[in-house]
Amino acid sequence: MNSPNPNICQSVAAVAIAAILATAVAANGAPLVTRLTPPSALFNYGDTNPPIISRFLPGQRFDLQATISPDAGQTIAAALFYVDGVQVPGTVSLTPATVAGKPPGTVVAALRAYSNKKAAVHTLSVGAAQSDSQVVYSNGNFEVVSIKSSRELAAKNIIILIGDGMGIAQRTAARIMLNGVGLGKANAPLAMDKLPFTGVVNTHSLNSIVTDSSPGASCYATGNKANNNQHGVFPDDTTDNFDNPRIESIGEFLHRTEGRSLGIVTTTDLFDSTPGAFGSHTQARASGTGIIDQMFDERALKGLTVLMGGGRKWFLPSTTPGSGRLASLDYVLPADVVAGWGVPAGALDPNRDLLTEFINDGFVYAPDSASLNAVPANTKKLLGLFNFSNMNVAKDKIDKRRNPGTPGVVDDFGFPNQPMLDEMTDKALAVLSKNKKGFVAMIEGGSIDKMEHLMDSERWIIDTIEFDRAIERCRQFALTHPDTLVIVTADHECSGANIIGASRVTHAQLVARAAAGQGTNQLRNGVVGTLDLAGFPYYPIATDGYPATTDIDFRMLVGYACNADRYEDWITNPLPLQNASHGIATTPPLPGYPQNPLQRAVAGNMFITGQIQDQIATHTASDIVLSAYGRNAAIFTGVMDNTDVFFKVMQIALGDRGARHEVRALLHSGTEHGDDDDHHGYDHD
Amino acid sequence: MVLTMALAFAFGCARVQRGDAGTAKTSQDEETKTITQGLPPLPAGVTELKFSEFFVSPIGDRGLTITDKLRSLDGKRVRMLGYMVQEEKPTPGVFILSPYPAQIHDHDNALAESLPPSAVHVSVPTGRDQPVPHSTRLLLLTGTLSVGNRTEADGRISMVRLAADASSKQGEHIFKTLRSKTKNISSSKGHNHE
Repeated sequence: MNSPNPNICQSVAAVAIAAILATAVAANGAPLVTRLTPPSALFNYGDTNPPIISRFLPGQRFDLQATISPDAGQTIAAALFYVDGVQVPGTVSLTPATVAGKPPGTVVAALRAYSNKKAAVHTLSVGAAQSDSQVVYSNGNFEVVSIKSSRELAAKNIIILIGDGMGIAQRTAARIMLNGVGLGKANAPLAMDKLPFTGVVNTHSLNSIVTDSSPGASCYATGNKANNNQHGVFPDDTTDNFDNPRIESIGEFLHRTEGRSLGIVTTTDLFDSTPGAFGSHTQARASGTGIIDQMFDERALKGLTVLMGGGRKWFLPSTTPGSGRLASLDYVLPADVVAGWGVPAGALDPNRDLLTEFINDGFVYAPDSASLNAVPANTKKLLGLFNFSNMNVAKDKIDKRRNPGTPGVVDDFGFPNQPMLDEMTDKALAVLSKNKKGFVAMIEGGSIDKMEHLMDSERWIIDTIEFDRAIERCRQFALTHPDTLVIVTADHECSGANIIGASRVTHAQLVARAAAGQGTNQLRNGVVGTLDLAGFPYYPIATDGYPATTDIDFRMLVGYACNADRYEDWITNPLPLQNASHGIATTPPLPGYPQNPLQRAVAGNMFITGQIQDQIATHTASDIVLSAYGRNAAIFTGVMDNTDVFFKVMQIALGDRGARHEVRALLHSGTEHGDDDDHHGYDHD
Repeated sequence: MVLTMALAFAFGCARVQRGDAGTAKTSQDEETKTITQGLPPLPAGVTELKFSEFFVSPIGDRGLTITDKLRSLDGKRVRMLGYMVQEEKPTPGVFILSPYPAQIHDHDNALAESLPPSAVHVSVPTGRDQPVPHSTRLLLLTGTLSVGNRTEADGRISMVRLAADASSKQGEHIFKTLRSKTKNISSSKGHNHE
């Protein structure tokens, strides 16, 4: 696609394997490079300059890959990669491209687990020869950022809290419900509001302005953009879901280089995108069996120490009722990935008893809240599996705790005793902090997003409150462990939720209006208070820290900008939807559980036409907020790309002096230039 | 075979219509409740089986535990009420009966999280070479139950299967209707479903 680089030609001549490349001349009809990975604007459209470029830490491992199509009747004989004109040592594998639409003979050439310690923008080139000696060269680039370790400045504990789908309105709604507003001022901040440094994050993915949760989390885990549905990898041209070009993730890098541990905690199914991005590499976020297997199989690469959430179905052999394990969702790695990364190949083993393997590996297993509370103080590795799929949401868990003798939603799902996220967080931090070298913890409020998809306003607000309580546990941990960084962010916004205002009527009046079935005449007109008619909704808070009820008089009202068809009556939905986004009940049918937002709040007859055709709401491209606390956390200010977050985290995790310079510059209005070159640390090797 | 498209008989078009804001709506649970109350008498030698009777609840530390009732009905004739799962790529002669009207989006999470463990693979008595056209109605099925794990043609592992029987004139009528619809679909598309 670009002219041959003279530097490349010189180095090619020196390499025996590239004899064809060295002697041949590029000509019309030569093979064609259609993809060069890592992705770069230089390859895609000839832009030689950052910032549209893939970036890596010094020494961070990633795969080099190119898709090369031969002329008709020819085959690709050899391919080599070059960085800055020098051939990259190592084996280049050639694999048939299996996606539809590629010319016959198209191959994917890969060189696995490459790394580069020199901070610079590097030229990446691929040279390929086809069977008639015609050759092609193509150029892209990538950047290795300048981050140097200095042990005395490093934050050894990294806590990344992700409120899935938590946009800025979600924070506001949670604050209004939890703390209220008086005379125009919030009565109290959320825990996340107490983190002193705030930034704004762009969330776009590699292939869309609107990301899904896989690239939305992958950017924080790897520092690079991914396609929607993919995490821990770059896209490729094979149909294999687990052979994509990998990028070493934060847990893998900090375990390999620093010996730190990794903990993954979520309220969703553990195979879900956010936990998946911190523990696996795949182009198919739905490949639950393989994702969970890989978390365990490659535990030694990332120091996996804590794994807690839902998704028990993946840990049970397929012969056990309730198992979700399927060969079609499992993984086997190609030989080049196994050799390059030093990982087990995996197997298609639906009958695997992964739960027993975890236990045999030394993990203490907690199946419910009581057993989590009883985990011994000397626990070194912890596995918590509290539901077969996504855990029940905070509202339904709290309702059961308040009325233990009354059958509740969690009973219908078969798991009456599920922990709250703050309780899981406490246990995770207790176990992870046993590693004196430090840890990375990813803690997710995962069902904020799922309840937004279902436009179940009270459920996502209460899940945001649950998430905030987990944030407070981490904030308290950081107060007593000053070598800790805490960041709170989201992967994207979901549903375009926002606060319209508040109801102008009491709850009893609202119920009567809904029963009348008169639609907008009863449920919009005279009810929806905008601007000053909204006033200040007040939700009494119970001693457990959650709203005593959400069906208050003059309640807060929420609308959706990315909504699906639905009915709205503003009344708290007594039951969650029975929907894959909520998790699958194991003992259905669930009498009275609606299937979608069109079967809910029907009686009031206020139909709201969705702008999207789906049954449920979906993500938006809106920026999201990031809050940070801890050593050098001031660098998380301003507007940043989501991949920037990874590099800022790693600056702080590795003790990069640049972060300290940046903080000082910020504090002194940009006049400060590093005068503290007393370098007692060490360069990262 | 008793296969009753119950609502079609009982309520006509009472189901929610997307975008139809002007008519009163009947929710699924109300349908279910009404239908359950109005079921025809249970035939001799047939046991009523509900999805909620499949597993012991609450769930223990590991997998689901099959109830004694479900285990005892292996090989016996039962009657079940449920919804046909909507599949993008249905397997000929088989559909999945679910406690709620689930959809499988084969391009999306598909096998990962769409169906409850109690979903039953139903094999139909006639038209086994063709996909069973989807119905949105509650279905009342009688047939012979089979309990135990088996890998199905769709890649799922079924735990419970129902071989729907063809003993009822009403049931045969329904299946004939389904078959003719299938032929229409096949001919209009000009190719067979895979």
